[in-house]
Amino acid sequence: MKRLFAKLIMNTAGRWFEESVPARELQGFLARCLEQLTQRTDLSPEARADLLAAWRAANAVDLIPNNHPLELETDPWKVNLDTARAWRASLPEDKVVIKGVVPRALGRSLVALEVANDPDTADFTARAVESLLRHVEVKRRAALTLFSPPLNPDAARLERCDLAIYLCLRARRCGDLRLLNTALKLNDWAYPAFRGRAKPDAQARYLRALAEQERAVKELLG
Amino acid sequence: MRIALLAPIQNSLYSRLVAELAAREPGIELAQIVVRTPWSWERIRGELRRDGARLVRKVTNKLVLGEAAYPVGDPETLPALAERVGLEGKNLSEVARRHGIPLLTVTDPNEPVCEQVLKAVRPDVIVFTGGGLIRKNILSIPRLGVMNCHSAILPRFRGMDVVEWTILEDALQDPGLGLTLHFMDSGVDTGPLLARYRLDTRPGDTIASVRRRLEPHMVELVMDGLRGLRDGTLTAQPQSAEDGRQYFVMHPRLVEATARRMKTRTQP
Repeated sequence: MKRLFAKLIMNTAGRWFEESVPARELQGFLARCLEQLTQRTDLSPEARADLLAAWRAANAVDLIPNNHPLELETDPWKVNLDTARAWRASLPEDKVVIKGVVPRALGRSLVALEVANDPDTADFTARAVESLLRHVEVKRRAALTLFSPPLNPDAARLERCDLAIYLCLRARRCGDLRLLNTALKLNDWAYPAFRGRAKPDAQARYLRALAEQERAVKELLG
Repeated sequence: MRIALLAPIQNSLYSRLVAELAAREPGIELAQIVVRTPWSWERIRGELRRDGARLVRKVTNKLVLGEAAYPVGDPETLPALAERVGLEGKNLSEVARRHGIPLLTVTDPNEPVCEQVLKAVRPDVIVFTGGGLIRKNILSIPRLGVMNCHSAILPRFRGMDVVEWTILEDALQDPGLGLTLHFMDSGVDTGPLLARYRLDTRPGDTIASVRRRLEPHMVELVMDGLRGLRDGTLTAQPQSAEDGRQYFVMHPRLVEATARRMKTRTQP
């Protein structure tokens, strides 16, 4: 009787407080939304590049077929290394999180520094990742909401997608599952906002984050 | 040696066993028990934010099921240890009453009243058996330190869900599953190390079975640590920040992967 009662509580109340999204639901949303968005003709070049990247990542793990209808666009993620170095030089105390405030262009700049394989920045990115993990895991849904200079909620949401993309990339490069763990949470928390009536350009970025997540899951966990 | 004990809730079996055995141990005086009340909005909000649905399972297991959460007849569980040592009663108040130990109930162990009471006790060691983050005002009170038993091998696996992370990171051989007794500092599981216990896996083991099997060894390791400090045979060894990593609450997809990995590693 006691066990039955406990099971009932765990099933009902547990579901109420569950904040992770089932993998199948996310994968279904990714495939469906990629298909729908690529039909649109009003997307910005940046959004088209995001979609293409999402398509490639999702295709790499067999979530969608290999017949994407998009033309290759300039990838907005190809941040100039000098720009990324200038971004780093502008950080107070060489830190990415100071009293809960993070700089703009965080994810993209970290991607640029990461892919450059610059030995001068290896120590910086390692430190940055540790403080970002702590920031996200402690602040959870309130993480990456305070920016310097300030950002509106829509732009902050995109920054969180960018960080998830960066964490997936670095997780794949270093085999560090803690980074994938945090990216999974960032994408779960963002799902309700992007599932509904999100702007197509913003949705394209979220799809990219989801596709990178699925690729990292497949590569690191099989 | 004078000690105080911090406990997360009144009916924690781990806390009750440590309190009971410490109270019976010659040369150790358990001078104060501090127990955290679960009925605080701040605590519920904080734990819900961190654990979400897992908190519901944790609370249900502890408050509704209690000892019924354990498999009947398994000799390697906390209830089995409680039976072997003849632990009586259902909560810490009964242990305190039986041995004449003052018990203080607090909302937060860092609050001023707790600090005052612990300072007045002048403990050599505070044994932490759970109940949230401990701040510097409490950490600095005992002469030797605040002792904690961490459920993984330090310094490699610091933080949360470390049993699961040890399995997922394929570290069952090195450093393996186990426990580490250490003094707490202001970092996350970065304080000086006192002792370790390594747990061998067995065919058919699951995450739940190894977690269950670790629990009685936590009590034993804490008691071994207290005896070692009392007798002067145990000294704390500092750990280096670079030797380990901090882990966080594991996402359900990684928990699933961990369970699969455990199954393949411990297939009979």
